[in-house]
Amino acid sequence: MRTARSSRRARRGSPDYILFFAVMTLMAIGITMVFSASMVRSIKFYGHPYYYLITQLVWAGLGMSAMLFLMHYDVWRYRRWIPLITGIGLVLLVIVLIPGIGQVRNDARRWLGFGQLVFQPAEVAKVTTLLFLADSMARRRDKLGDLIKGLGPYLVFLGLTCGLVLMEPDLGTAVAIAGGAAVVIFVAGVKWYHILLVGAASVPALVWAIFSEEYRRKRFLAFLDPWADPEGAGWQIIQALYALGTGGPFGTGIGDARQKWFYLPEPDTDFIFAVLGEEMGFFGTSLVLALFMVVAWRGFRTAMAAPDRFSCYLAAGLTSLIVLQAIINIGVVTGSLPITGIPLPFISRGGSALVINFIAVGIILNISRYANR
Amino acid sequence: MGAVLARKRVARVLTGVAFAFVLLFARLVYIQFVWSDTLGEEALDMRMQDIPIQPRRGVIYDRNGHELAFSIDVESVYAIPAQVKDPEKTAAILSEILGMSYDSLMARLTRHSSFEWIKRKIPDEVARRIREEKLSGIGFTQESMRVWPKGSLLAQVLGIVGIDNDGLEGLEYQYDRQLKGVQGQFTVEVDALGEELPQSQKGYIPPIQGKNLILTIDEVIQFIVERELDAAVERSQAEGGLAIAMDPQTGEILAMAMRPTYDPNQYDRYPDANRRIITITDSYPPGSTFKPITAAAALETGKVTVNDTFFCGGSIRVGSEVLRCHVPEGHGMQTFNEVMQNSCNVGFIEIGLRVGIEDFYKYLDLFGATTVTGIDLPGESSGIIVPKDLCKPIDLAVMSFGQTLQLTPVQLIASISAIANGGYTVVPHVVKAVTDADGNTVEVKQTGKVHRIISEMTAKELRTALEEVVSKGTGKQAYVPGYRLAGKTGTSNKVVDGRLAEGKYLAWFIGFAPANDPKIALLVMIDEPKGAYYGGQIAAPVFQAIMRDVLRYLEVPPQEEPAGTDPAELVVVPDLVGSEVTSAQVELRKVELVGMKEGPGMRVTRQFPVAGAKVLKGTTVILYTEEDVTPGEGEVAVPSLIGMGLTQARERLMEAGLVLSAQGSGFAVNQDPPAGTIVPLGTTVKVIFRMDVGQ
Repeated sequence: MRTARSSRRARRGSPDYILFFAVMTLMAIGITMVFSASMVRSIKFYGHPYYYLITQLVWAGLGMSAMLFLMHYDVWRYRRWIPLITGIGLVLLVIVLIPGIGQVRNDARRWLGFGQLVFQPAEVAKVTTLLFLADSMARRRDKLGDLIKGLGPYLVFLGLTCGLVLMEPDLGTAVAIAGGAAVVIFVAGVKWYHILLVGAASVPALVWAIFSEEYRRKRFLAFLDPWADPEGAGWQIIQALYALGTGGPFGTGIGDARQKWFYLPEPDTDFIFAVLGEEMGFFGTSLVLALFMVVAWRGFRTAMAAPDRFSCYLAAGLTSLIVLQAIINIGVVTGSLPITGIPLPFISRGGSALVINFIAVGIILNISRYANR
Repeated sequence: MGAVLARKRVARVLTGVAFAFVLLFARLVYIQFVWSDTLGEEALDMRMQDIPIQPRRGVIYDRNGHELAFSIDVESVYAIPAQVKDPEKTAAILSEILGMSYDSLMARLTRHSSFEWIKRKIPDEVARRIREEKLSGIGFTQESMRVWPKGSLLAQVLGIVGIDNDGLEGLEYQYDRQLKGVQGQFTVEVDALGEELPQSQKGYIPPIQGKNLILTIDEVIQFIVERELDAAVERSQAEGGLAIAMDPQTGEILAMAMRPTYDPNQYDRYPDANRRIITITDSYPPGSTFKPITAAAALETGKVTVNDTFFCGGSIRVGSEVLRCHVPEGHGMQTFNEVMQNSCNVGFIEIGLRVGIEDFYKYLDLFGATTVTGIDLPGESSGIIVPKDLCKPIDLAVMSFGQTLQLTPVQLIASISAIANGGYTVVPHVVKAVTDADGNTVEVKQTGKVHRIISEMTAKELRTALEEVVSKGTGKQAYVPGYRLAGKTGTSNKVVDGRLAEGKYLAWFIGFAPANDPKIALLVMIDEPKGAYYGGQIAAPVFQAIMRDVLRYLEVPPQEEPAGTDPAELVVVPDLVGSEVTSAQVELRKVELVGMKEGPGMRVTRQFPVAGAKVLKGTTVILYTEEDVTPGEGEVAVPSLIGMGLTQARERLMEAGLVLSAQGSGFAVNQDPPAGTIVPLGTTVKVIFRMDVGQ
């Protein structure tokens, strides 16, 4: 153990700067857009335009500090604590559901903490779940060929985690966790037909999840034809399309969006990409898309060049976590996917979500320092 | 080996992710390049809020420029629900002030909409009280409200407008397009809460104000007609009645009235049926008032001459049927004019049979009995007449004296006008001209004679015959001293649901004056009078009362002897102005006339009929007297203004060197100081005008 560690130490190189700068550029665009998109509401609720900008800057500072720390603090040094960390993550998911402890906003009990300092346990679970899967699957690699004994426990664990998140409810985060986990399971070498089997088995569950809840059913149907109910379920998608369309190739100019004036729901979080598209046009939207493509490329490249299975699985899972959220968010805003409530990493305003995304990138950057060259 | 598999699978994930990015990229190209313009326009359209600017609806004037209908600005309250901060409190306050239910107000204030009417067209005082509450999300807008200042005067013809200023009936409907104008709008870009956006796009399209109508109706004649119609309906306890006054030379309708009636300002308080323009929508059996048309056909075709004689033995056989005259013993041997005077059915059956089916129908067509007259009012119908190919001699015989066929009153007055004006058809109409908001004339309606249907000679012979109906025949009660009147009585069985209604009658009188130079044609019909029901008893006095005042109003000079009267029966009215009332009475008695004093004074200041008029013996001469005081230097006696219109009263006072202070509108009902008071020149006389149709 000691020798393995010191040998790795010796091989430690520089982190992937391309990934680093791509993320920092996304963050810069994000801060700008958060300011522009939240200004209207900030003035309405707080009398000055800077309220949300300031909180976002605070969280971004926190997130970047976490990233820089994890970039230097090797992931293998806390690998043995992973079961404990995972356990804490699960406990937090249970605690947040307790009325009186978990804080409720918009009919969802998702937050823990005091005053300004609140975080979402579901965000924490994103990273802890992937850490657990990567660590455990790397160690139990030979048993993964068995559907029940190999894959079974992981499915139960995932079901428990996602189930708790869904109880808040927070469909978007559950989807993100499941997506990242699926990539880890896939990369870990689970048999194709097992994956297909599980996939096929989850279809009825998915259908049930959509159609059991009235608002999810409406959202899903609205995605198919938003103009069927333009004042109701279709409203959000139509307003987002209006914003993107108004932006056209070059946009109306930063700060000049019209649709953010209470037409777009959540203009600074889930629908910030629409404001970006209106103010910066196709130039802005394609730039953001390209930056996420760079994140995907450098992240998966890191996974492929990782020194061991654990770090390979982990880098692939964390990269997927960020990239899948981006794909789903942009898919929703462009009317290509049903509304799920997933923010756009590094761009959307958010506290613990932003910190968690920085943590994920920090871990990937740490792994990239040990890439096989 | 395992690490190779993991690398391969990561590569696959990367490929899948890249594929997703390509799809999203393509989607963004589509939305932001191809679809961009459409989406952008739709979005702008959504953000642009139109605030309509209503045009002012045009004014309806009578022929002398008196307002019969106009629009005033009133306030309407609306809510923008998203801006209402405290719906409960707002609803409670509005409910209190407007007297509306709290629940319905709450429903409107919380509805998911950008605009809700709260209450439209409210009094200024109420609007002011709401404004003082300074409620958020509650706004006011100016709307126009239609006002008919003369109440029920000409109600059916004027019609009504709806809450959105759409003409629904009558002239308001017929000329809605011109009256309404074109809505303008103010457009402003707003946020989703309805507030104007910074650097918002704006647009303004000014409204085009509605055009004004100038009618052929004369407010004063209309008033006289309605007053007399009301009196007659009341007197005979009739179901209703109608009257039309028309200039027979041009087709201009001077007055059109029907009873029962309604007030357009509060039309919902009356039965809907009261709003129908029954003078043009409904047809009635005209009875003997149709006889002039039969006579015209007979004279014009030469099948009968005025020198022919007709024998009436009380009945006549037509085919297998025996038809009776209204005098059982018969009228005996009569001239053509006597047949008309006696309104002898047997005589007219003979005249009709001589005309024959072919020519009878030809003249029905020529007189417009088979078509609509084309009057510019909505809902006109044409009469009901036995189709020509089904017409048998018995039908012809009965139609000849005006039974079984039905005509609308306006058809009837149009046909009598052809006789009055020397043989021409006219198109009855109520609008004289259309002017724009600045008063410039934009359209003048066609008026006047259209084409000849009977010769001047025939028309003249008929006028003489009809004049004798008034001077000697069944129409004596229509006689106005000093004037030559022509007319025809009529009494017909009422037709209800296509069937003759036993014991229910329509009393008619139709005619024109002066007989030798007709200025006005007049039709009067009283529907279901109780007791006496003959046209000569019921309708002729109404005709007489209207003609008396209208001829005086139109300043038609009194004429000499009416045609056909016995010269021995006529006397010349002496000049009595300036003499004592008592001596004037004596003077009148000498020439077998009756004097009637009107006014508080002892000296005659005016008289009617005027001096020099030739009237029948026994006619009443009205002697107007005023306070018997002689005004000194720089002083004048206040004249009586009661019953005069505003213009007339003003002129009268100006002549006297006095000043008018008018209050209200319509006809003078009260004045201060009273008539006869001696006041210094330049004194202001307060006159209260009121539009009290009826009493």
